[in-house]
Amino acid sequence: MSGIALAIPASGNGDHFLDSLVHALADLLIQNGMSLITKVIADGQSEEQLYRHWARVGRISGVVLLEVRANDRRVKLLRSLGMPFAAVVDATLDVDFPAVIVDLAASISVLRRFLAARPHRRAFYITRPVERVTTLSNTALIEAIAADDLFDVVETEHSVDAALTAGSTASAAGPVTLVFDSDVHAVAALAAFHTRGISVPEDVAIISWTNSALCQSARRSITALDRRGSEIGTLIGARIIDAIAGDQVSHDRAPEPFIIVGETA
Amino acid sequence: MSSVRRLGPSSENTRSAILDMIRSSGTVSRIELAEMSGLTATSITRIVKSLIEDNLVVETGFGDPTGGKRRSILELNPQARFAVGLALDDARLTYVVANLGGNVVGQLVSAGLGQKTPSIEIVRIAEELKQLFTQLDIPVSHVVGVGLAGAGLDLGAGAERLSVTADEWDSFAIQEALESRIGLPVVRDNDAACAALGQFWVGRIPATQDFATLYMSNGFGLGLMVGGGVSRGASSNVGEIGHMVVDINGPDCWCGSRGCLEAVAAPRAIVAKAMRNRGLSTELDLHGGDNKLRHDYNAIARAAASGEPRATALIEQSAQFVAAAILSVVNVLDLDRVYLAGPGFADAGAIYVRLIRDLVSRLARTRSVHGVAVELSDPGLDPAALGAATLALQHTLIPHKRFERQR
Repeated sequence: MSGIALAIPASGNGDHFLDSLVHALADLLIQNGMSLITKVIADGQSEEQLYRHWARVGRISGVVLLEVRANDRRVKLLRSLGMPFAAVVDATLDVDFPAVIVDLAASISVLRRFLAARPHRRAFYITRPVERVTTLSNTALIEAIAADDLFDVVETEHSVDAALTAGSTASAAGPVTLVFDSDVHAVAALAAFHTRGISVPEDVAIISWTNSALCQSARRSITALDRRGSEIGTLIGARIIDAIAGDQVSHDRAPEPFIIVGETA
Repeated sequence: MSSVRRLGPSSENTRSAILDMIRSSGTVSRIELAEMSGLTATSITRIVKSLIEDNLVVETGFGDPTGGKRRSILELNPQARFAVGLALDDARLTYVVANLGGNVVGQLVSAGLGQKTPSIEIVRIAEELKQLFTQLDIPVSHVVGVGLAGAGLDLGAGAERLSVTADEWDSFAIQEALESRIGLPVVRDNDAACAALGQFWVGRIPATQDFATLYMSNGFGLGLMVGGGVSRGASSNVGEIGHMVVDINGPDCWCGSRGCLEAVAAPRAIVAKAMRNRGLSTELDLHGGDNKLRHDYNAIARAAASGEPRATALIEQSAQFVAAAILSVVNVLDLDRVYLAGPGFADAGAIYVRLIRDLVSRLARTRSVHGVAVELSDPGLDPAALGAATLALQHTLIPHKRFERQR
């Protein structure tokens, strides 16, 4: 069975957007008689070593790249190794390789429109530290937010406790909207506020930047952004299959993100 | 329980118990190990020496000097050994490779078992394992074993095998067959028990917290964690919740009973009802055959998750039966925590959670004493595969508390 390979940054652990992308990618590959192999990597250097290893041992037909940046070394490396690849890239990048283009600005616009239609209150984006963020889109997201007045960005350690503390601090001075980068943290925050007798969404509105089944199955369904991880996974699967067949140029645009309106915002 | 654990006479068990103490302690000194185990300092020194020689344990530094000789601190070397967990499902095979610390280092997802026979699939599985080790760059000598999460497989090839315990796979000695092909120890347990173990492992759930994991693939299974271990029963068949009778006047079940949960609420039953609605089955492109069971069920579940009313009604009908079964389990076992896991809950899990939570909170016998948390397991993990990897790690490295099926 021919295999497609994907290196996953260790910091992407627990990112359910990435998980939904990988799950849909695997589904498409299986339907096409292929398999998907993933390896967790600690840093960029071990990622490059891994591609060299894959090129050496064989049986990997193609590689899917995440979070490609301008002049990405990995693109050059994979070309020199002769390994077909397809990448998930942000819309701000010009690419000359097979790719699925994700417009991050669209996600922010969707959220902006949603918040604008609600009574004005301060909004905080609670996220893991920027320098530790390497998963798809989050880096670019924080860059975009930094150049914007939509939210105050609160960086915390990537843990439920840290996110809860940050959320509590932010909400101490009156009604706020908290946008959590992690669905797990949004669910934990809902439970914590419930325990403390704080009303959601009246006192604190909660939005998850990442939609998952956890948001829909929470005690009260959590308003969340569907960034189309599954669709992106299916599209990138088609791109890599075509790339192996010789199509080195085609791009797809990811479908528009949308808000799933729940009971928390 | 006393903090001093008396160890048995077998040297291998002693060694594995010491390894487990180091693992669960994080970092620990030899003197602390002697105190915890009740063994002499000489014995500890000898055992630790052999663990260090095998690279299972490393010395990481020195404890606070107390004026005398400095004590070196021991810790598990997570990259020293690996185990594979394989979830056998008819839609996909998921191989999870975990290190000694229980962290996932890589995965392989390949075609499911579908309707192929075990003799063909065993060859493929052995080949895929070999590829997996090569591609993850893990020497086979560092792999301690393979855990299989199986059972509950509906191969659906014919009328005789309407069950999720298809005879062809159940009677097939997959463990022995795979062991002889790959030359590694293989352990096997049912997917629900593995999923509970996986949930326990990643959820950092204290051993004092008992819980059940309801696993849904083509049928149902219930994994029970009691006191930090999987509950097994007389013949290791705890958790056949799919054959709990939820409707005494219900349809016949393949198992010989009638009105079983599986017969009224499993994907096969849902798809059969959907097929009777021509409009819905055309819209969702349902096939109705056993070979397309998962495809059909997923289409219905996705439609329900997006609010399609006819699909929602079908899923809710199933969820009401599941909720009744879980209510009985909660009442019988006095549980305060239930997780839902498995491919059957991937798309419409939120509907099941809502209906189970609602029924249990209204009607559990213990509702005035304590609440019952009903949660989906982490959607990013395959808990059955991860639990199977954990099973393999425990089986080979800490045999003094083996969790696998009794024979």
